Amino acid sequence: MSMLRIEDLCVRYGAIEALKGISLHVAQGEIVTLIGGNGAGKSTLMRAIAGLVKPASGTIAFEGRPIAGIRPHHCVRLGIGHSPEGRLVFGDQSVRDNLMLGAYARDDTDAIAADIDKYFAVFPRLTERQDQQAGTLSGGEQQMLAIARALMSRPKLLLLDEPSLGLAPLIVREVFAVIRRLREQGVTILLVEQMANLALAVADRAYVIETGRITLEGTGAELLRDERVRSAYLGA
Amino acid sequence: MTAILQALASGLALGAIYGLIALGFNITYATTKTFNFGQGAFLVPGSLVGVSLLLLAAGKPHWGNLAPSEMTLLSYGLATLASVAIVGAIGIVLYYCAIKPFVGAGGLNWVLSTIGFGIILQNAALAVWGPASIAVPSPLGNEVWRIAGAGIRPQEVLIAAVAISVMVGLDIVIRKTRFGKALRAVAFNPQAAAIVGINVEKIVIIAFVISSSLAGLAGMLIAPITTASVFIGLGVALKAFSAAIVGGLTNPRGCMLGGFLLGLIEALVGLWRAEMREITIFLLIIIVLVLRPGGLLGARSVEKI
Ligand SMILES: Nc1ncnc2c1ncn2[C@@H]1O[C@H](COP(=O)(O)OP(=O)(O)O)[C@@H](O)[C@H]1O
Ligand SMILES: [Mg+2]
Repeated sequence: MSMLRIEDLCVRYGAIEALKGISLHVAQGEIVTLIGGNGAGKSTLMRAIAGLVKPASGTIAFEGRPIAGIRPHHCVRLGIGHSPEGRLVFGDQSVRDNLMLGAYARDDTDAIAADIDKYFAVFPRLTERQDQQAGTLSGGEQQMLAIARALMSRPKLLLLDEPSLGLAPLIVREVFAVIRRLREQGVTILLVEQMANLALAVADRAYVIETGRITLEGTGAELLRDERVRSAYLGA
Repeated sequence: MTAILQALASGLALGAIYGLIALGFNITYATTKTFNFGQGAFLVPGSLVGVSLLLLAAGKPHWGNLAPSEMTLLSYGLATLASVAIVGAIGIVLYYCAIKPFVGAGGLNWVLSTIGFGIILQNAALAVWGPASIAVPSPLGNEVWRIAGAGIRPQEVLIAAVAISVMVGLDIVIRKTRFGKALRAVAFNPQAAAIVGINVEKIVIIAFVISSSLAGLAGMLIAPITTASVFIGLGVALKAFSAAIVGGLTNPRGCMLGGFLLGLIEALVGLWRAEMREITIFLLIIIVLVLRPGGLLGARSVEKI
Protein backbone atom coordinates (compact mmCIF):
# COMPACT_ATOMS: atom_id res chain seq x y z
CA MET A 1 0.00 0.00 0.00
CA SER A 2 1.23 3.49 -0.80
CA MET A 3 1.88 5.80 2.08
CA LEU A 4 0.57 8.70 -0.01
CA ARG A 5 -1.77 8.39 -2.97
CA ILE A 6 -3.09 11.40 -4.84
CA GLU A 7 -5.76 11.08 -7.53
CA ASP A 8 -6.82 13.73 -9.99
CA LEU A 9 -6.06 16.63 -7.64
CA CYS A 10 -7.14 20.12 -8.68
CA VAL A 11 -6.31 23.27 -6.74
CA ARG A 12 -7.31 26.79 -7.67
CA TYR A 13 -6.41 30.20 -6.34
CA GLY A 14 -9.43 32.23 -7.38
CA ALA A 15 -9.38 32.16 -11.16
CA ILE A 16 -5.90 30.58 -11.36
CA GLU A 17 -5.89 26.81 -11.81
CA ALA A 18 -2.61 25.84 -10.15
CA LEU A 19 -3.09 22.04 -10.25
CA LYS A 20 -5.13 20.51 -13.07
CA GLY A 21 -5.57 16.87 -12.16
CA ILE A 22 -2.43 15.54 -10.50
CA SER A 23 -2.09 11.84 -9.69
CA LEU A 24 0.93 10.41 -7.94
CA HIS A 25 1.92 8.06 -5.16
CA VAL A 26 4.75 7.65 -2.66
CA ALA A 27 5.52 4.27 -1.08
CA GLN A 28 6.85 3.73 2.44
CA GLY A 29 10.61 4.39 2.62
CA GLU A 30 10.86 5.99 -0.82
CA ILE A 31 12.39 9.28 -1.83
CA VAL A 32 10.24 10.73 -4.57
CA THR A 33 11.18 13.98 -6.24
CA LEU A 34 9.08 16.46 -8.10
CA ILE A 35 10.84 18.62 -10.66
CA GLY A 36 9.46 21.42 -12.76
CA GLY A 37 9.92 25.08 -13.55
CA ASN A 38 8.85 28.10 -11.59
CA GLY A 39 5.10 28.32 -11.16
CA ALA A 40 4.54 24.71 -12.26
CA GLY A 41 2.56 23.99 -9.10
CA LYS A 42 5.10 22.10 -6.99
CA SER A 43 4.65 24.13 -3.83
CA THR A 44 0.89 24.14 -4.27
CA LEU A 45 0.95 20.34 -4.31
CA MET A 46 3.04 20.27 -1.11
CA ARG A 47 0.73 22.78 0.53
CA ALA A 48 -2.32 20.74 -0.41
CA ILE A 49 -0.80 17.62 1.17
CA ALA A 50 0.05 19.59 4.33
CA GLY A 51 -3.48 21.01 4.55
CA LEU A 52 -2.52 24.61 3.85
CA VAL A 53 -4.71 24.87 0.74
CA LYS A 54 -8.04 23.17 0.15
CA PRO A 55 -8.29 21.21 -3.11
CA ALA A 56 -11.11 22.08 -5.48
CA SER A 57 -11.48 18.40 -6.37
CA GLY A 58 -9.63 15.09 -6.29
CA THR A 59 -8.43 12.93 -3.42
CA ILE A 60 -5.39 12.73 -1.17
CA ALA A 61 -5.05 9.52 0.81
CA PHE A 62 -2.43 9.19 3.54
CA GLU A 63 -1.99 5.63 4.81
CA GLY A 64 -5.30 4.85 3.17
CA ARG A 65 -7.18 7.64 4.93
CA PRO A 66 -8.64 10.54 2.93
CA ILE A 67 -7.08 13.81 4.11
CA ALA A 68 -7.94 16.34 1.38
CA GLY A 69 -9.24 19.51 3.01
CA ILE A 70 -8.40 18.71 6.63
CA ARG A 71 -6.63 21.43 8.59
CA PRO A 72 -2.81 21.52 8.79
CA HIS A 73 -2.52 20.88 12.53
CA HIS A 74 -4.38 17.60 11.99
CA CYS A 75 -2.08 16.66 9.09
CA VAL A 76 0.91 17.03 11.42
CA ARG A 77 -0.71 14.71 13.94
CA LEU A 78 -1.32 12.10 11.23
CA GLY A 79 2.42 12.09 10.46
CA ILE A 80 3.07 14.66 7.73
CA GLY A 81 6.05 16.97 8.33
CA HIS A 82 6.53 20.00 6.09
CA SER A 83 9.71 21.99 5.53
CA PRO A 84 8.21 24.77 3.43
CA GLU A 85 9.64 26.79 0.57
CA GLY A 86 11.41 29.83 2.00
CA ARG A 87 11.99 27.92 5.27
CA LEU A 88 9.71 30.08 7.44
CA VAL A 89 11.62 29.47 10.66
CA PHE A 90 10.29 31.50 13.61
CA GLY A 91 12.81 34.31 13.29
CA ASP A 92 12.12 35.97 16.65
CA GLN A 93 12.52 32.78 18.68
CA SER A 94 15.63 30.82 19.59
CA VAL A 95 16.86 27.84 17.61
CA ARG A 96 16.00 25.58 20.53
CA ASP A 97 12.47 27.03 20.80
CA ASN A 98 11.98 26.50 17.06
CA LEU A 99 12.75 22.82 17.60
CA MET A 100 10.45 22.69 20.63
CA LEU A 101 7.68 24.19 18.51
CA GLY A 102 8.39 21.54 15.88
CA ALA A 103 7.27 19.02 18.50
CA TYR A 104 4.13 21.02 19.36
CA ALA A 105 1.84 18.14 18.39
CA ARG A 106 3.66 15.73 20.74
CA ASP A 107 3.38 15.42 24.49
CA ASP A 108 6.17 12.94 25.29
CA THR A 109 8.42 15.52 26.99
CA ASP A 110 11.39 13.22 27.62
CA ALA A 111 11.48 11.91 24.06
CA ILE A 112 11.23 15.48 22.75
CA ALA A 113 14.34 16.47 24.70
CA ALA A 114 16.12 13.37 23.35
CA ASP A 115 15.10 14.24 19.78
CA ILE A 116 16.43 17.78 20.16
CA ASP A 117 19.79 16.33 21.21
CA LYS A 118 19.60 13.92 18.29
CA TYR A 119 19.12 16.70 15.74
CA PHE A 120 21.79 18.82 17.39
CA ALA A 121 24.09 15.87 16.70
CA VAL A 122 22.94 15.71 13.06
CA PHE A 123 23.27 19.50 12.64
CA PRO A 124 26.23 20.53 14.83
CA ARG A 125 26.01 24.14 13.69
CA LEU A 126 22.56 24.43 15.22
CA THR A 127 24.00 23.29 18.54
CA GLU A 128 26.41 26.21 18.64
CA ARG A 129 23.58 28.59 17.88
CA GLN A 130 20.83 27.03 19.99
CA ASP A 131 20.18 30.18 22.05
CA GLN A 132 20.44 32.54 19.09
CA GLN A 133 17.32 33.94 17.41
CA ALA A 134 16.58 31.89 14.30
CA GLY A 135 16.33 35.06 12.21
CA THR A 136 20.04 35.72 12.75
CA LEU A 137 21.12 32.39 11.21
CA SER A 138 22.60 32.12 7.72
CA GLY A 139 20.41 30.77 4.93
CA GLY A 140 21.97 27.33 5.13
CA GLU A 141 21.56 27.18 8.89
CA GLN A 142 17.92 28.27 8.60
CA GLN A 143 17.37 25.48 6.07
CA MET A 144 18.88 22.91 8.43
CA LEU A 145 16.64 24.30 11.18
CA ALA A 146 13.53 24.10 8.99
CA ILE A 147 14.30 20.45 8.20
CA ALA A 148 15.05 19.62 11.84
CA ARG A 149 11.89 21.45 12.96
CA ALA A 150 9.80 19.36 10.55
CA LEU A 151 11.51 16.16 11.79
CA MET A 152 10.71 17.07 15.41
CA SER A 153 7.09 16.03 14.80
CA ARG A 154 8.42 12.52 14.00
CA PRO A 155 6.76 12.51 10.60
CA LYS A 156 6.15 9.36 8.62
CA LEU A 157 6.27 11.48 5.47
CA LEU A 158 8.57 14.49 5.13
CA LEU A 159 7.73 17.17 2.57
CA LEU A 160 10.86 19.09 1.56
CA ASP A 161 10.14 22.12 -0.61
CA GLU A 162 13.25 23.49 -2.35
CA PRO A 163 15.74 22.86 0.44
CA SER A 164 18.60 24.18 -1.72
CA LEU A 165 16.90 27.49 -2.56
CA GLY A 166 19.35 30.38 -2.29
CA LEU A 167 22.17 28.30 -0.80
CA ALA A 168 25.84 28.24 -1.78
CA PRO A 169 26.90 25.05 -3.64
CA LEU A 170 28.88 23.76 -0.68
CA ILE A 171 25.85 24.10 1.59
CA VAL A 172 23.61 22.47 -1.00
CA ARG A 173 25.86 19.43 -0.89
CA GLU A 174 25.50 19.33 2.89
CA VAL A 175 21.71 19.48 2.60
CA PHE A 176 21.71 16.55 0.18
CA ALA A 177 24.01 14.59 2.49
CA VAL A 178 21.37 15.07 5.18
CA ILE A 179 18.64 13.85 2.83
CA ARG A 180 20.63 10.67 2.13
CA ARG A 181 21.13 10.15 5.85
CA LEU A 182 17.38 10.52 6.46
CA ARG A 183 16.70 7.92 3.80
CA GLU A 184 19.02 5.47 5.58
CA GLN A 185 16.93 6.06 8.69
CA GLY A 186 13.82 5.07 6.74
CA VAL A 187 12.13 8.46 6.50
CA THR A 188 9.81 8.67 3.49
CA ILE A 189 10.44 11.90 1.58
CA LEU A 190 8.67 13.90 -1.10
CA LEU A 191 11.29 16.33 -2.40
CA VAL A 192 10.71 19.38 -4.57
CA GLU A 193 13.90 20.70 -6.14
CA GLN A 194 15.14 23.14 -8.75
CA MET A 195 18.52 21.37 -8.71
CA ALA A 196 17.12 18.56 -10.84
CA ASN A 197 20.40 16.67 -11.28
CA LEU A 198 21.01 16.39 -7.54
CA ALA A 199 17.37 15.54 -6.82
CA LEU A 200 17.16 12.84 -9.49
CA ALA A 201 20.42 11.32 -8.27
CA VAL A 202 19.08 10.91 -4.74
CA ALA A 203 15.51 9.92 -5.67
CA ASP A 204 14.05 6.45 -6.12
CA ARG A 205 11.37 7.81 -8.41
CA ALA A 206 10.51 11.17 -9.90
CA TYR A 207 7.71 13.13 -11.53
CA VAL A 208 7.99 16.08 -13.86
CA ILE A 209 5.28 18.69 -13.38
CA GLU A 210 4.48 21.40 -15.92
CA THR A 211 1.74 24.04 -15.51
CA GLY A 212 -0.24 21.96 -13.06
CA ARG A 213 0.04 18.58 -14.79
CA ILE A 214 2.36 15.57 -14.49
CA THR A 215 4.08 15.17 -17.84
CA LEU A 216 6.65 12.45 -17.12
CA GLU A 217 7.41 9.90 -14.48
CA GLY A 218 10.02 7.23 -13.91
CA THR A 219 12.90 6.20 -11.70
CA GLY A 220 15.47 8.84 -10.88
CA ALA A 221 17.98 7.13 -13.14
CA GLU A 222 15.51 6.96 -16.05
CA LEU A 223 14.71 10.65 -15.90
CA LEU A 224 18.38 11.58 -15.58
CA ARG A 225 18.88 9.91 -19.01
CA ASP A 226 15.66 11.28 -20.54
CA GLU A 227 16.35 13.67 -23.43
CA ARG A 228 13.42 15.99 -22.60
CA VAL A 229 14.45 16.23 -18.96
CA ARG A 230 18.07 16.78 -19.90
CA SER A 231 17.29 19.68 -22.20
CA ALA A 232 14.60 21.31 -20.03
CA TYR A 233 15.95 20.83 -16.50
CA LEU A 234 19.56 19.68 -16.62
CA GLY A 235 20.89 22.30 -19.00
CA ALA A 236 22.40 19.63 -21.27
CA MET B 1 5.99 68.47 45.85
CA THR B 2 3.14 66.57 47.51
CA ALA B 3 0.96 67.55 44.57
CA ILE B 4 3.49 66.02 42.21
CA LEU B 5 3.61 62.83 44.28
CA GLN B 6 -0.17 62.69 44.17
CA ALA B 7 -0.20 63.22 40.43
CA LEU B 8 2.44 60.51 39.98
CA ALA B 9 0.25 58.02 41.84
CA SER B 10 -2.80 58.95 39.78
CA GLY B 11 -0.77 58.83 36.57
CA LEU B 12 0.65 55.43 37.44
CA ALA B 13 -2.82 54.03 38.10
CA LEU B 14 -4.29 55.57 34.96
CA GLY B 15 -1.27 54.45 32.94
CA ALA B 16 -1.67 50.91 34.25
CA ILE B 17 -5.27 50.91 33.00
CA TYR B 18 -4.19 52.19 29.57
CA GLY B 19 -1.37 49.64 29.51
CA LEU B 20 -3.73 46.74 30.24
CA ILE B 21 -6.08 47.67 27.43
CA ALA B 22 -3.19 48.47 25.06
CA LEU B 23 -1.70 45.03 25.75
CA GLY B 24 -5.03 43.57 24.63
CA PHE B 25 -4.74 45.48 21.35
CA ASN B 26 -1.24 44.09 20.88
CA ILE B 27 -2.19 40.46 21.47
CA THR B 28 -4.90 40.34 18.82
CA TYR B 29 -3.05 42.62 16.41
CA ALA B 30 0.05 40.42 16.54
CA THR B 31 -1.92 37.26 15.74
CA THR B 32 -4.52 38.56 13.27
CA LYS B 33 -3.51 42.09 12.24
CA THR B 34 -6.88 43.15 13.65
CA PHE B 35 -8.10 44.39 17.00
CA ASN B 36 -11.31 45.45 18.61
CA PHE B 37 -12.03 49.06 17.70
CA GLY B 38 -15.04 48.84 19.99
CA GLN B 39 -12.91 47.86 22.98
CA GLY B 40 -14.24 50.79 25.02
CA ALA B 41 -17.65 49.13 25.16
CA PHE B 42 -16.04 46.07 26.79
CA LEU B 43 -15.19 48.11 29.88
CA VAL B 44 -18.92 48.62 30.39
CA PRO B 45 -19.97 45.04 31.21
CA GLY B 46 -16.59 44.76 32.92
CA SER B 47 -17.68 47.21 35.59
CA LEU B 48 -21.48 46.88 35.52
CA VAL B 49 -21.64 43.09 35.72
CA GLY B 50 -19.25 43.06 38.67
CA VAL B 51 -21.05 45.86 40.49
CA SER B 52 -24.45 44.25 39.89
CA LEU B 53 -23.18 40.96 41.30
CA LEU B 54 -22.10 42.83 44.44
CA LEU B 55 -25.48 44.60 44.64
CA LEU B 56 -27.40 41.34 44.21
CA ALA B 57 -25.22 39.72 46.88
CA ALA B 58 -26.19 42.60 49.18
CA GLY B 59 -29.88 41.85 48.50
CA LYS B 60 -30.46 44.95 46.35
CA PRO B 61 -31.67 45.28 42.76
CA HIS B 62 -28.95 45.01 40.10
CA TRP B 63 -28.64 48.78 39.76
CA GLY B 64 -28.42 51.41 42.45
CA ASN B 65 -25.58 52.66 44.55
CA LEU B 66 -23.25 50.37 46.43
CA ALA B 67 -22.38 51.25 50.02
CA PRO B 68 -18.84 50.69 51.31
CA SER B 69 -20.19 48.27 53.92
CA GLU B 70 -21.63 46.09 51.17
CA MET B 71 -18.24 45.15 49.79
CA THR B 72 -15.08 43.50 51.04
CA LEU B 73 -11.77 43.04 49.26
CA LEU B 74 -12.71 39.37 48.81
CA SER B 75 -16.17 40.02 47.35
CA TYR B 76 -14.76 42.70 45.07
CA GLY B 77 -12.09 40.24 43.94
CA LEU B 78 -14.64 37.50 43.23
CA ALA B 79 -16.94 39.91 41.40
CA THR B 80 -13.94 41.04 39.34
CA LEU B 81 -13.09 37.45 38.40
CA ALA B 82 -16.70 36.83 37.35
CA SER B 83 -16.71 40.02 35.27
CA VAL B 84 -13.44 39.15 33.61
CA ALA B 85 -14.74 35.67 32.74
CA ILE B 86 -17.98 37.04 31.28
CA VAL B 87 -16.26 39.74 29.23
CA GLY B 88 -13.73 37.12 28.08
CA ALA B 89 -16.62 34.99 26.85
CA ILE B 90 -18.04 38.01 25.00
CA GLY B 91 -14.63 38.10 23.27
CA ILE B 92 -15.41 34.69 21.73
CA VAL B 93 -18.70 36.05 20.36
CA LEU B 94 -16.81 39.11 19.06
CA TYR B 95 -14.37 36.83 17.24
CA TYR B 96 -17.05 34.80 15.49
CA CYS B 97 -19.29 37.78 14.63
CA ALA B 98 -16.91 40.60 13.87
CA ILE B 99 -13.45 39.16 13.14
CA LYS B 100 -13.66 35.70 11.61
CA PRO B 101 -15.83 36.71 8.62
CA PHE B 102 -13.31 39.40 7.64
CA VAL B 103 -9.87 38.36 8.83
CA GLY B 104 -7.30 37.68 6.13
CA ALA B 105 -9.66 39.01 3.46
CA GLY B 106 -7.87 42.37 3.39
CA GLY B 107 -9.84 45.57 3.60
CA LEU B 108 -11.12 47.37 6.64
CA ASN B 109 -14.45 45.63 7.17
CA TRP B 110 -13.22 44.41 10.56
CA VAL B 111 -12.86 48.03 11.71
CA LEU B 112 -16.53 48.72 11.16
CA SER B 113 -17.67 45.30 12.37
CA THR B 114 -15.82 45.68 15.69
CA ILE B 115 -17.07 49.24 16.18
CA GLY B 116 -20.58 47.98 15.41
CA PHE B 117 -20.25 45.10 17.85
CA GLY B 118 -19.18 47.57 20.54
CA ILE B 119 -22.16 49.83 19.86
CA ILE B 120 -24.51 46.86 20.11
CA LEU B 121 -22.89 45.81 23.38
CA GLN B 122 -23.11 49.33 24.79
CA ASN B 123 -26.78 49.67 23.86
CA ALA B 124 -27.58 46.27 25.30
CA ALA B 125 -25.98 47.50 28.54
CA LEU B 126 -28.05 50.67 28.32
CA ALA B 127 -31.21 48.55 28.13
CA VAL B 128 -30.18 46.54 31.20
CA TRP B 129 -28.66 49.26 33.39
CA GLY B 130 -30.01 52.55 32.07
CA PRO B 131 -27.98 55.73 31.60
CA ALA B 132 -27.36 56.65 35.25
CA SER B 133 -23.95 56.08 36.74
CA ILE B 134 -23.47 53.89 39.80
CA ALA B 135 -21.15 55.07 42.56
CA VAL B 136 -18.76 52.28 43.51
CA PRO B 137 -16.67 52.43 46.68
CA SER B 138 -13.12 51.16 46.70
CA PRO B 139 -12.73 47.83 48.48
CA LEU B 140 -9.78 49.42 50.29
CA GLY B 141 -11.99 52.27 51.53
CA ASN B 142 -12.46 55.78 50.19
CA GLU B 143 -10.33 57.45 52.87
CA VAL B 144 -7.15 58.84 51.27
CA TRP B 145 -3.87 57.43 52.53
CA ARG B 146 -1.27 59.94 53.72
CA ILE B 147 2.07 58.96 52.25
CA ALA B 148 4.96 61.45 52.61
CA GLY B 149 2.39 64.18 53.06
CA ALA B 150 0.58 63.36 49.85
CA GLY B 151 -2.98 62.11 49.80
CA ILE B 152 -3.15 58.95 47.76
CA ARG B 153 -6.38 57.21 46.90
CA PRO B 154 -6.25 53.55 47.93
CA GLN B 155 -8.00 52.46 44.71
CA GLU B 156 -5.08 53.92 42.75
CA VAL B 157 -2.71 51.70 44.67
CA LEU B 158 -4.96 48.70 44.07
CA ILE B 159 -5.20 49.47 40.35
CA ALA B 160 -1.44 49.80 39.98
CA ALA B 161 -0.76 46.63 41.99
CA VAL B 162 -3.29 44.46 40.15
CA ALA B 163 -2.59 45.83 36.68
CA ILE B 164 1.18 45.63 37.04
CA SER B 165 0.95 42.05 38.34
CA VAL B 166 -1.24 41.06 35.42
CA MET B 167 1.10 42.74 32.94
CA VAL B 168 4.21 41.10 34.40
CA GLY B 169 2.39 37.77 34.46
CA LEU B 170 1.32 38.05 30.83
CA ASP B 171 4.79 39.16 29.79
CA ILE B 172 6.21 35.99 31.35
CA VAL B 173 3.50 33.84 29.77
CA ILE B 174 4.20 35.31 26.33
CA ARG B 175 7.96 34.85 26.56
CA LYS B 176 8.35 31.61 28.50
CA THR B 177 5.40 29.25 28.20
CA ARG B 178 4.45 26.79 25.49
CA PHE B 179 1.27 28.81 24.88
CA GLY B 180 3.26 32.05 24.64
CA LYS B 181 5.68 30.55 22.16
CA ALA B 182 2.79 29.26 20.06
CA LEU B 183 1.18 32.71 20.22
CA ARG B 184 4.40 34.30 18.99
CA ALA B 185 4.72 31.65 16.28
CA VAL B 186 1.23 32.52 15.02
CA ALA B 187 2.16 36.20 15.18
CA PHE B 188 5.35 35.56 13.20
CA ASN B 189 3.69 33.52 10.46
CA PRO B 190 0.34 31.71 10.80
CA GLN B 191 1.14 29.18 8.07
CA ALA B 192 4.48 28.27 9.62
CA ALA B 193 2.66 27.87 12.95
CA ALA B 194 0.04 25.63 11.37
CA ILE B 195 2.58 23.24 9.85
CA VAL B 196 4.22 22.55 13.20
CA GLY B 197 0.82 21.47 14.51
CA ILE B 198 -0.49 24.63 16.16
CA ASN B 199 -4.25 25.10 15.86
CA VAL B 200 -4.01 28.69 14.69
CA GLU B 201 -7.69 29.52 15.12
CA LYS B 202 -7.66 28.29 18.71
CA ILE B 203 -4.71 30.55 19.52
CA VAL B 204 -6.46 33.49 17.86
CA ILE B 205 -9.64 32.90 19.86
CA ILE B 206 -7.62 32.77 23.08
CA ALA B 207 -5.98 36.05 22.05
CA PHE B 208 -9.42 37.68 21.74
CA VAL B 209 -10.49 36.22 25.07
CA ILE B 210 -7.37 37.65 26.74
CA SER B 211 -7.82 41.02 25.05
CA SER B 212 -11.48 41.24 26.08
CA SER B 213 -10.76 40.04 29.62
CA LEU B 214 -8.15 42.77 30.01
CA ALA B 215 -10.73 45.39 29.02
CA GLY B 216 -13.20 43.85 31.47
CA LEU B 217 -10.61 43.94 34.24
CA ALA B 218 -9.84 47.56 33.42
CA GLY B 219 -13.55 48.41 33.69
CA MET B 220 -13.88 46.84 37.12
CA LEU B 221 -10.63 48.40 38.40
CA ILE B 222 -11.49 51.89 37.26
CA ALA B 223 -15.13 51.87 38.42
CA PRO B 224 -14.41 53.13 41.98
CA ILE B 225 -12.63 56.13 40.40
CA THR B 226 -14.91 57.00 37.49
CA THR B 227 -18.16 55.39 38.74
CA ALA B 228 -19.68 52.57 36.73
CA SER B 229 -21.79 53.54 33.74
CA VAL B 230 -22.54 52.75 30.15
CA PHE B 231 -20.44 55.72 29.06
CA ILE B 232 -17.10 55.17 30.84
CA GLY B 233 -15.28 53.16 28.20
CA LEU B 234 -14.88 55.27 25.10
CA GLY B 235 -12.41 57.90 26.31
CA VAL B 236 -10.30 55.37 28.20
CA ALA B 237 -10.10 53.03 25.21
CA LEU B 238 -9.11 55.88 22.90
CA LYS B 239 -6.22 56.74 25.22
CA ALA B 240 -5.26 53.06 25.43
CA PHE B 241 -5.32 52.86 21.64
CA SER B 242 -3.06 55.91 21.49
CA ALA B 243 -0.79 54.28 24.06
CA ALA B 244 -0.50 51.17 21.91
CA ILE B 245 0.36 53.20 18.82
CA VAL B 246 2.88 55.38 20.66
CA GLY B 247 4.56 52.45 22.39
CA GLY B 248 4.45 50.20 19.31
CA LEU B 249 1.39 48.12 18.48
CA THR B 250 3.61 45.19 17.50
CA ASN B 251 5.44 45.03 20.82
CA PRO B 252 3.70 44.02 24.07
CA ARG B 253 6.24 45.83 26.22
CA GLY B 254 5.91 48.88 24.00
CA CYS B 255 2.16 48.90 24.58
CA MET B 256 2.60 48.75 28.36
CA LEU B 257 5.25 51.46 28.24
CA GLY B 258 2.97 53.63 26.10
CA GLY B 259 0.21 53.20 28.67
CA PHE B 260 2.34 54.38 31.58
CA LEU B 261 3.77 57.27 29.56
CA LEU B 262 0.33 58.55 28.62
CA GLY B 263 -1.06 58.11 32.12
CA LEU B 264 1.85 59.96 33.74
CA ILE B 265 1.89 62.79 31.20
CA GLU B 266 -1.85 63.20 31.55
CA ALA B 267 -1.68 63.43 35.33
CA LEU B 268 1.36 65.70 35.46
CA VAL B 269 0.14 68.12 32.81
CA GLY B 270 -3.30 68.12 34.46
CA LEU B 271 -1.60 69.36 37.60
CA TRP B 272 -0.38 72.39 35.72
CA ARG B 273 -3.36 73.21 33.51
CA ALA B 274 -6.19 70.76 33.10
CA GLU B 275 -7.20 72.12 29.71
CA MET B 276 -3.68 71.50 28.35
CA ARG B 277 -3.87 67.76 29.11
CA GLU B 278 -5.37 66.42 25.92
CA ILE B 279 -3.56 68.99 23.75
CA THR B 280 -0.17 67.99 25.17
CA ILE B 281 -0.86 64.28 24.89
CA PHE B 282 -2.02 64.30 21.31
CA LEU B 283 0.73 66.72 20.24
CA LEU B 284 3.29 64.39 21.79
CA ILE B 285 1.72 61.41 20.05
CA ILE B 286 2.04 63.15 16.69
CA ILE B 287 5.67 64.08 17.38
CA VAL B 288 6.55 60.52 18.42
CA LEU B 289 4.89 59.07 15.34
CA VAL B 290 6.69 61.45 13.01
CA LEU B 291 10.03 60.50 14.55
CA ARG B 292 9.27 56.80 15.01
CA PRO B 293 6.42 55.69 12.74
CA GLY B 294 6.29 52.22 14.31
CA GLY B 295 6.04 53.61 17.85
CA LEU B 296 8.73 53.79 20.52
CA LEU B 297 9.41 50.04 20.71
CA GLY B 298 7.73 48.91 17.49
CA ALA B 299 10.08 47.13 15.13
CA ARG B 300 8.47 47.91 11.84
CA SER B 301 6.26 50.72 10.78
CA VAL B 302 2.65 49.91 11.52
CA GLU B 303 0.29 49.03 8.69
CA LYS B 304 -1.78 52.01 7.59
CA ILE B 305 -5.31 51.74 8.85
N1 LIG C 1 -1.28 32.34 -2.85
C1 LIG C 1 -1.43 32.34 -4.18
N2 LIG C 1 -2.39 33.10 -4.75
C2 LIG C 1 -2.58 33.11 -6.08
N3 LIG C 1 -1.86 32.39 -6.94
C3 LIG C 1 -0.88 31.60 -6.45
C4 LIG C 1 -0.62 31.54 -5.04
N4 LIG C 1 0.39 30.68 -4.84
C5 LIG C 1 0.76 30.23 -6.07
N5 LIG C 1 -0.01 30.78 -7.02
C6 LIG C 1 0.07 30.49 -8.47
O1 LIG C 1 -0.08 29.10 -8.65
C7 LIG C 1 0.81 28.61 -9.61
C8 LIG C 1 1.68 27.53 -8.98
O2 LIG C 1 2.54 28.13 -8.02
P1 LIG C 1 3.51 27.27 -7.10
O3 LIG C 1 2.76 26.08 -6.60
O4 LIG C 1 4.10 28.16 -6.10
O5 LIG C 1 4.59 26.80 -8.16
P2 LIG C 1 6.07 26.24 -7.96
O6 LIG C 1 6.25 25.88 -6.52
O7 LIG C 1 6.15 25.07 -8.85
O8 LIG C 1 7.01 27.33 -8.37
C9 LIG C 1 1.58 29.81 -10.12
O9 LIG C 1 0.95 30.28 -11.29
C10 LIG C 1 1.45 30.82 -9.01
O10 LIG C 1 1.49 32.13 -9.53
MG1 LIG D 1 7.60 26.52 -5.17
